[in-house]
Amino acid sequence: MRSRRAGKLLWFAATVAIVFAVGSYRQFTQTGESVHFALNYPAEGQSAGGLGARGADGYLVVDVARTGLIKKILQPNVINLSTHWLHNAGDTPRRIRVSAEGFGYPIRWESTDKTWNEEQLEIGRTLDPGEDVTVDLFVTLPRPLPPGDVLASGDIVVHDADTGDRLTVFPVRIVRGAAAAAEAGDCCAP
Amino acid sequence: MHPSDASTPPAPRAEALRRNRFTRFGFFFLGLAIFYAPFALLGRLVGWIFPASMPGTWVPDVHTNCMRMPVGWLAQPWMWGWMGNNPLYFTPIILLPIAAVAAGPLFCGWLCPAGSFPEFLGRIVPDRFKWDFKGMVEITSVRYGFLVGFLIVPFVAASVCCSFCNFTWMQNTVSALFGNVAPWLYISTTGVLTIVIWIFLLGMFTKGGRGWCLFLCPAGSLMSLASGVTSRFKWLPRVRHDATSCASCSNCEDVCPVRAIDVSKPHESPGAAPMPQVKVNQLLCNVCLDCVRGCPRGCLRYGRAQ
Repeated sequence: MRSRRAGKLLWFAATVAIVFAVGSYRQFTQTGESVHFALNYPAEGQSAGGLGARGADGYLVVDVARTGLIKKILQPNVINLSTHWLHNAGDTPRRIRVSAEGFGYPIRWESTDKTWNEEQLEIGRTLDPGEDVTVDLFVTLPRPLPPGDVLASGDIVVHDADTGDRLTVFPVRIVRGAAAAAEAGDCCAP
Repeated sequence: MHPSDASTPPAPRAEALRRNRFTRFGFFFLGLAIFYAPFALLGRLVGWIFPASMPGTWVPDVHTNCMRMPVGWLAQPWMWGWMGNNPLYFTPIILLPIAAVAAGPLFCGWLCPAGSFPEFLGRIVPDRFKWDFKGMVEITSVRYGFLVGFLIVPFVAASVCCSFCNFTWMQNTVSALFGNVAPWLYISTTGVLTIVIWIFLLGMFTKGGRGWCLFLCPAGSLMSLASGVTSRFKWLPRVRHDATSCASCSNCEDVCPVRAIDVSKPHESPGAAPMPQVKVNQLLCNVCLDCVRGCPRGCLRYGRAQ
């Protein structure tokens, strides 16, 4: 009876340990594939957005060396940048348009918003102050990946769809390796 | 009939079992209509009733009634306020557990397409190609070990909530059937792992096809916990066993998709009570009622204890 109980406890502990191991692996890969960030607008310069908490870093570095094994084999060249969220941090209701500048590679955009216009890259409705909307973009790099430490570099820009004003600019660097990631961080930090 | 009277166990009630599975298959489509885009009837209804609290311009889909994040937030009090944004966040942590206390985790057995999809797919795979983790794994320990790990892993590493979400891939499958294949064009490591484990490893090639539900579904674990802990109250309906006419044929054990039933043969020694022991593990049972319909002697029933 005691050994049965010990066995149950062991299975329980082993499962918790496996979940921790998977969580650690996920932590390793989360800056290499399906990278999430939040972006406030309007914001001056680079003062908005960043990995994790809203408004944290003001730039985004994707390190392809941290791509998970399966993705590395099957589709290493498509990088997903996912907003959690585009947040109207101002006090004016706005319609917004997004664009990607300087990447030099094809980018596909998606949004779960009903009013998303895929051709204009616009949210069709007016977003009230404090309101969020999600937009994903998929950067397709050449395969095999380009040589060098910096694979791609560009900005995600949020515009006022009605006036054309640039509401925020969010630098993104797609790099290879920790050293390049640290360097890219230095170059982009506000 | 006394078990010693039964020289040969009667044939399982194949027709009743088949009917039950067919009915559950119907509920699979009902679940799709309720929770999954392009229908997502529940999301639309709640959005209509609570327009201020629901993000009205979202396209409602399975994420509108997320079954994983709210369970994770139980361990994160700073997220509790966030739940007020969407009344459906209370579904997996309050509404369904209460329903599970009242009637068992019927949602899991009947209304969860993500759970039953690999189970139904598994019916096309012969049993000899499936592994049966019963007897190899302490199922209950693993199930609740995952729940505890799921709750606390965000404090020490990355969450395994959204990156390993079978509901998302069920939604992606439905969306693809309706022409939107975009989610399938992007490959992620965790996405591939989720599909392989959910559909194949713990689905089609696992006896019962419900390995994901048992081991990796936090919402299911929470419901079963609520159901299992309260199953000692005899007035609550659960799957119950009546040993008086049981022939310990093990048919119930065999047909149970969640491997929740243990049958021990009656004692054969002279003088010992020859009553078979059939235990329904209420911490695993999803009230699909396959055992009830499949029992040739009607020894299992769903209801209050007598």
